[in-house]
Amino acid sequence: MTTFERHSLTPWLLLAPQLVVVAIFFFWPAAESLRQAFYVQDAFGLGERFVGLANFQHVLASPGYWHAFGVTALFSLLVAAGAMGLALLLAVLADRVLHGARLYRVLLTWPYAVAPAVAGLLWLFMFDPVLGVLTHALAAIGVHWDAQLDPGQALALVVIASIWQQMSYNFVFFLAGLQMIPASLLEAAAIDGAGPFRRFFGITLPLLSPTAFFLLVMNSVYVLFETFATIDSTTLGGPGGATRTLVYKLYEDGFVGRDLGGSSAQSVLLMILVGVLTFIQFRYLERRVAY
Amino acid sequence: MATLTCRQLVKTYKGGQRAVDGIDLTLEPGELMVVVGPSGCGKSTFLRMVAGLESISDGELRIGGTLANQLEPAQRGVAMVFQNYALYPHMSVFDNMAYALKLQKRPREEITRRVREAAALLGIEALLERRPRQLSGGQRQRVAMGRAIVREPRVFLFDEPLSNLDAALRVQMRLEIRRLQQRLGASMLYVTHDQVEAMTLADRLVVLRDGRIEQIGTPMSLFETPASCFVARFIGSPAMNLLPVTQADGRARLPGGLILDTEALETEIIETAPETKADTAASADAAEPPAAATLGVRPEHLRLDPQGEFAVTLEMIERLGVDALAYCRLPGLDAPLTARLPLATLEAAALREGSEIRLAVDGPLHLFDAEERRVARRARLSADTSAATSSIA
Repeated sequence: MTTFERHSLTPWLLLAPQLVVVAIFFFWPAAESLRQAFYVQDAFGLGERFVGLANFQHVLASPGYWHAFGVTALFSLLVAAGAMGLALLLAVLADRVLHGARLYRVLLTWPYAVAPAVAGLLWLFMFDPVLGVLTHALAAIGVHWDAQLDPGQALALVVIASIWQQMSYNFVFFLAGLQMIPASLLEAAAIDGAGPFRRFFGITLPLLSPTAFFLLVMNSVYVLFETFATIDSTTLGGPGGATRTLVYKLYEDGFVGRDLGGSSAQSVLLMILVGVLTFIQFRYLERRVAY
Repeated sequence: MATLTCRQLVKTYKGGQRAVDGIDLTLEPGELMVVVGPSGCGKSTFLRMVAGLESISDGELRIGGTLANQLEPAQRGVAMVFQNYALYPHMSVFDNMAYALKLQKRPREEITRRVREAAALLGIEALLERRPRQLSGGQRQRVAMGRAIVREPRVFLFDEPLSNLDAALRVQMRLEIRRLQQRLGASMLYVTHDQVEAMTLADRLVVLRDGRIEQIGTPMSLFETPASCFVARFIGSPAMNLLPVTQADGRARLPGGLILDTEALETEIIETAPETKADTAASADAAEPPAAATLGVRPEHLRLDPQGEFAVTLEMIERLGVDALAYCRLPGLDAPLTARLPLATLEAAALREGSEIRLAVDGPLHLFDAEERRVARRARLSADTSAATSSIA
């Protein structure tokens, strides 16, 4: 122990670069945002005035905020369900592949390496009302596609782009989870008389539940924050606010509308929302998945 | 009616490699048959073919008289105990044991009764509500057996069930499996690589080598009349001493300047698989049995004797308690000649590493031909120069 006490400064020195980065780019802005949530600023950023909880009152009373909340809820549900469901399906299929398994895995993991903004653009091009490959394909089967005009289609576009992105991340974890399950467990179940579906729902799925739980938390965070780039590069929150999620709205209000106080209040609310969601997930779901 | 019959069972993999290469055997009701062999001999593959976890490439598998080649694992009436126990970690011990019965949609009271009976038999009633991870290795082993017992299968399959346990527990569970088997009158097929486990558990022993049966018989028959050098080396601990026989000046010679004289035996019945039995019979009928190429003598059948044939140097002593293993150097033999001697005799003679000693044969000698098959001949050893010969029955 004495050796540790004598060198008590060393660990801090070694941690310093990371701590500095985190402090400057996370704690400082977060603290600043927390402070600003209780002030109003003038349009030029030259003066500010303490207003207490007025910003929060204003945000929570505005119908635009609740609309964005609704959009976010729908969007989150679709993306989390889609990305996790598809990833599980692909992981189960990839787990059964015997030949060229590595190639499949690399290809399925790839989309995660694509920046969200680029992913958004990719899908924007494919669904472009004039040039898009998929627009033409849809026209051929009689669907008129224009995500710039149709709110439902705009939401579908960002949902698809986000699912495509997040699916890869989920896929990696589901595949690893599947490979952790000893083959003998499924063999024992087969001898016990469980068919393929019984084995999947009775053995595989329960054993994957810790992985699924972890991914649910990660996906919630992803959907609430990181889909910003996807939305910003495709629909810009439109048309008519159909894709304006909470994080996109706070960006618009703060950096386009210059309402820093209101925007900060929204970011505090968003932070609380994520905290509550994560708490609920840990409190009520984790107990069911542990074995 | 036999519980389980295999006829020329073959497993071929894609590259044409044969993991199991024509296994013939019959498991009688209430019999505990142990399949033993070194790793890679195909014993686990064979067991998995019986269970239905590996497809059967060729041959015939009958369980309880019905052809089972194409049956699903669940329809074969077998239960398997896996090496890693394969307990469902998300279920309680009760649910683990009840799983198969629940899938069969048995009435709830029947499930509870059968699980409780099996638990009582194994002494794990107190554990029924626990999860597998809360159990020790031995307890998990019991639960795995309980899961098999609850199903009342026609055949129990064991795939190296004791290899994850420590030595003391392994001995205890070995006895327990034997006790259970006798109490239930169960038919069991038991795979292991541990020859002590095989010897102590088996009604009949099957030695497998490269996917083929080397010999089938009671443990003692395999110990006393091994059909080949392979069985001779594999069964018995420490392993049998095998000495090369060379022909020179018209005489059969052994390392250490010994002469080997043999005479044909009338008949010697060796229990083996059907095909090898035919081979042995043919060679016994022939006027001149094949010449011996290898002589085998068990370490237990060597004793300290000033007039002994083997003049050796004592290289190392392993004290086992009552007995000691003496590893000796015989000129012309690369491997040490091992003798199992009473420790008291060694101490009385004040023998140490480096002592020059003589060993005499006090038991049967085994002869094998150039193909390493057993030769039905009586052997006699004599020193080359000395006129005095000692005869060994």
